[in-house]
Amino acid sequence: MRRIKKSLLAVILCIALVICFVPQGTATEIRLGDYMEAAKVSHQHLLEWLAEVSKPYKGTTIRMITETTPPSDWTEEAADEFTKHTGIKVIVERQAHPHLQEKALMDFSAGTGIYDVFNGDYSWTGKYVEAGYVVPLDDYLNDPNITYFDYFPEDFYAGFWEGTTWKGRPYGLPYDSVVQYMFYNKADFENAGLVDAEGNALFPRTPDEWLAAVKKLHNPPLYGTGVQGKRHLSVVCEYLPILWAFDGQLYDENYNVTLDSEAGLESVKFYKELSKYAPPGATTWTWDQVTTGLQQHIVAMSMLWDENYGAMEDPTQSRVIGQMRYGPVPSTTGKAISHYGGSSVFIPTSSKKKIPAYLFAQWATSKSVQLLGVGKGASPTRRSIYAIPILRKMYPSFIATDAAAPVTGWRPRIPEWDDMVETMARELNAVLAADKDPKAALKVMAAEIDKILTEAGYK
Amino acid sequence: MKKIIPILIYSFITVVLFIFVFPYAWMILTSFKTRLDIFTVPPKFIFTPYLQHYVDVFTKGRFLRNFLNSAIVVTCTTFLSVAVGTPAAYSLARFELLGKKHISIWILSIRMMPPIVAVIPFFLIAAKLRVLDTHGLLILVYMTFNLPFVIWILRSFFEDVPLELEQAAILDGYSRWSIFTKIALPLVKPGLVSVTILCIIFSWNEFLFANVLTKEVAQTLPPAISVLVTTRTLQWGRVGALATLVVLPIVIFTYFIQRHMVRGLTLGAVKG
Amino acid sequence: MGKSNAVDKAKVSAVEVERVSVLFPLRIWVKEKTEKFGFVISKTERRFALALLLPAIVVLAVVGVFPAIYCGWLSATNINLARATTSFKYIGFHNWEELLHSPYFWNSFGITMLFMVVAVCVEFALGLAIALVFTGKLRSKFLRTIMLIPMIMAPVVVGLGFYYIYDGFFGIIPWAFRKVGLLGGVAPLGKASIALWAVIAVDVWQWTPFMVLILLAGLESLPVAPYEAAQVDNASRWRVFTKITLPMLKPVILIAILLRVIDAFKVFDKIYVLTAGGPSSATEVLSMWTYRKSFLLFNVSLGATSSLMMLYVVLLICVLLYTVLTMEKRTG
Repeated sequence: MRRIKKSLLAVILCIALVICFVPQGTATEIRLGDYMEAAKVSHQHLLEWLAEVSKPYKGTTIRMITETTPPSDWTEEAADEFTKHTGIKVIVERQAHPHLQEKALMDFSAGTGIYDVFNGDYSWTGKYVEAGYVVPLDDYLNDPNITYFDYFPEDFYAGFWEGTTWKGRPYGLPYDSVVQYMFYNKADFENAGLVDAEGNALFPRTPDEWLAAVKKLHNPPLYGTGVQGKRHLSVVCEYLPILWAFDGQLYDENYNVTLDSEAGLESVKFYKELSKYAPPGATTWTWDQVTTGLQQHIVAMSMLWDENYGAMEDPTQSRVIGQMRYGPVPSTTGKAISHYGGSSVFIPTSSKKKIPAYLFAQWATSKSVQLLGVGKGASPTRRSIYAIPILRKMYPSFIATDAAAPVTGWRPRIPEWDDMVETMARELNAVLAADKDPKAALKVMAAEIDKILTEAGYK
Repeated sequence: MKKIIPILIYSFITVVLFIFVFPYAWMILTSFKTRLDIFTVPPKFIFTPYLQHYVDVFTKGRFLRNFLNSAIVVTCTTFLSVAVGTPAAYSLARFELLGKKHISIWILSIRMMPPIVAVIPFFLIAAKLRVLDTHGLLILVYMTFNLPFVIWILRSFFEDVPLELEQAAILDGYSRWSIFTKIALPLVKPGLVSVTILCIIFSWNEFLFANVLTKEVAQTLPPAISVLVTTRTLQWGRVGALATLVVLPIVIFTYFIQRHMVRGLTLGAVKG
Repeated sequence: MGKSNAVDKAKVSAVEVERVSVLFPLRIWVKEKTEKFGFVISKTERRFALALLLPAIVVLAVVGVFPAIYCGWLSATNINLARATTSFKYIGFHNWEELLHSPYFWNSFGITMLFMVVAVCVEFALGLAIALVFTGKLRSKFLRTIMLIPMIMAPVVVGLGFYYIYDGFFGIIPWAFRKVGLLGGVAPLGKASIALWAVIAVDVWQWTPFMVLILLAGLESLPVAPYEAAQVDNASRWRVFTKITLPMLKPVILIAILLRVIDAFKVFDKIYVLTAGGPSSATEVLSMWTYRKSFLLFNVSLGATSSLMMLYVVLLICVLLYTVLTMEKRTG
């Protein structure tokens, strides 16, 4: 009897040992490598389909005009592969934000057909569609001969897709997820004592906490915050979420301007106060310089576009690898505030190579290409990619983007938006750089926006 | 006291020259720093050289192409401007034509025209005629400032050619054309050198027209540099390298021909 | 028969007399004009002169006149590149009205004027001072090349160089200021009150050598005689400078200033790269304002109107420049 007991014990011990040392959960914890392998396989299928479908267009050259942003870097890098399989040569022309529109509009208005693919800000949709400069894509999407069966457009975040839909028809394929929210340097928070009971960094939830955190972190040569203060679209983009955080709006559904309300004044004053803790020269900064500021550990936190997550983890340049965390813009209402500034790829009406251009646009916004580009610059626009657990672990910004995308705030998409940006950029920059009185600036902005809306016939 | 003055003077000269050369020298230094070195505070003066930016300029980007485009455009426009402008200058210098004063003011004003005036019309028409992004367009457009310049400078040089030489030639039975080519032209050689050099420099450095009218095929160097600056995280290393390379030919060039530059720059007002 | 012959002859000679009496003053006028050059303008010579001149006039008409006319046409329309260009209408002087009533246009005009005046004055003063010190000392080719470097660098490159030098954080100038305790290390291009002066400083850096070289050439080509006479008279250095040097240098100075004034009025490349108009319009010179309106807001018709305005100002200054140049030629 004893011998049986002993051997039974031994067996149980052995089983216990085996259970302890055999790797657990291999079924649920798939390594990134495995995802990439799967992505590569479906990517192969896409490439084979493309090779078939692009036979009549072999030898053509198409030209894409896009912004100087990380996703364009990835597209340019990966385009060689597209050319190899389809014989369609791709020239990727990169321009910074204001020049992107200059060049594109010059081409479209002159009808010269220089550009075949246009990476356009979604807020330009109204302008370009009403002027007839871009073609609707529903016919293309419904044609199985030129649309990959597994293209899966429902995978795009609904907000992104609708961003480039106008009067019910889609005009753009979401290319670049660009959601603006807060970038925090976790290490700085912990060093400054801004932690919760467990010692984890405690990020602000209201504007008051936000300002308090900035003040506490402000310790030159480390500055409390960055500010995109240049007289440029950037200052308007940074201001809008602050306006929304104070529960303000530019104008209501009837196009009555509500900018010069209490919320408007509070938000401008807040923005001005915030800018005092930014490095000198921040009034000439756009998102590029704020990215550098965060990456080089000059500022402890800032509002920035999510597509810059890669710069924070770049091993060749970044001084803050592994330290960045992300969260929504702190608001007074408890709502999670963020700002969508993404872009989609359009096909210009003046292009003479629309089908090859469409094939390329599809390829660039396909799931496999966006997935393979993660970490190399791509800022995917598809829900399925942001849901991948291992990616959420490697890139914390993915969690933030996934949370923000369904509820993110939009800026106006009407054709008059650019004129409004001109006014607001000038006045906001004056408040930050020329000590203009916030109330006076608001008055000017509200008056000019009202004039713009009235002259355009909205009210 | 008297001994100090030369020292003061020479130190003043040194300081002035240092100020004028510093920004360019700083740019060259920057082009040899690694990215982390560029982003350090306080600025580093001593560092280990890093050649990757120059390699990048040649491999990524289209430096050779842009360089070639610049070279082609500059050579052709200078040649055409001189070829068309020299006879015109001679004509204005020698012959008393009605309306000469008005023509002269008109020519001067075209030289001084703000380029922004001409950009939009040229763009729109070039777009319609499908000649955008070609060398020919830029060559023609650059004559906006090169041609009047050539005419104006050479006119003053031609006016300095002694009349007696030409009168003697007439008596000897030379034709007007031979007088122009065999007598007047050789005597204005310094002027020709002057204008050629200055046309080359102006055309090489031109930015606005090139930025608007060229994109890919015919893009010259100045727009190529400005594109780099607006890229992510300010690639100062590459900008420095490209800027150094763009200015270097001109600097070398200038070293050999600077004597002729002054006259050209002052529109012939100062002789020698 | 004989009688009619005589009458005919008389008629002919009468006509001839008339012809002569009409042409006579013309002939005298032409003779006077050509006596200056000692050439007689015959028909073949006139043709020759025109033939030499014609190609240039044709080219200049295309590249010089055509844009101005097109701008004129544009300014009478409401073409905006952001709207389909096929549907536009003529709006007469509406653009001019908008331009002249726009406070932002006049702000730009004022800034351009300020830029022009300050930059040229500083360049002139510094240039003269430096030229006086350098007289006769700058013989080496190498040193003269250094003097030329700022001018021969593309304005775009100059702008970029200074953009880095002025950078609030990595720039060497704010760092130096901070070290010395000046201005609290503010970023020169970031504050509206300082930005314009920072930009003027860049222009001064680039074009003072131009002034130096012109004035130097002028100084070195002055005749020696008056100076020898002054030495005999034992005149003080200051009197020599103000009564002899300056007056003789006047034409050179005037030309240098006028040339710089025109170029300063046109300034664009540097501003575009350094501040693109500014912290809040502080450096928005006319070229920049026009560019903004035309290419960032696509209101090309308003931009064309502004361009024309600039052209008129430049024309005015050109007439001045021409007068000075020809005056100097006649007396010099």
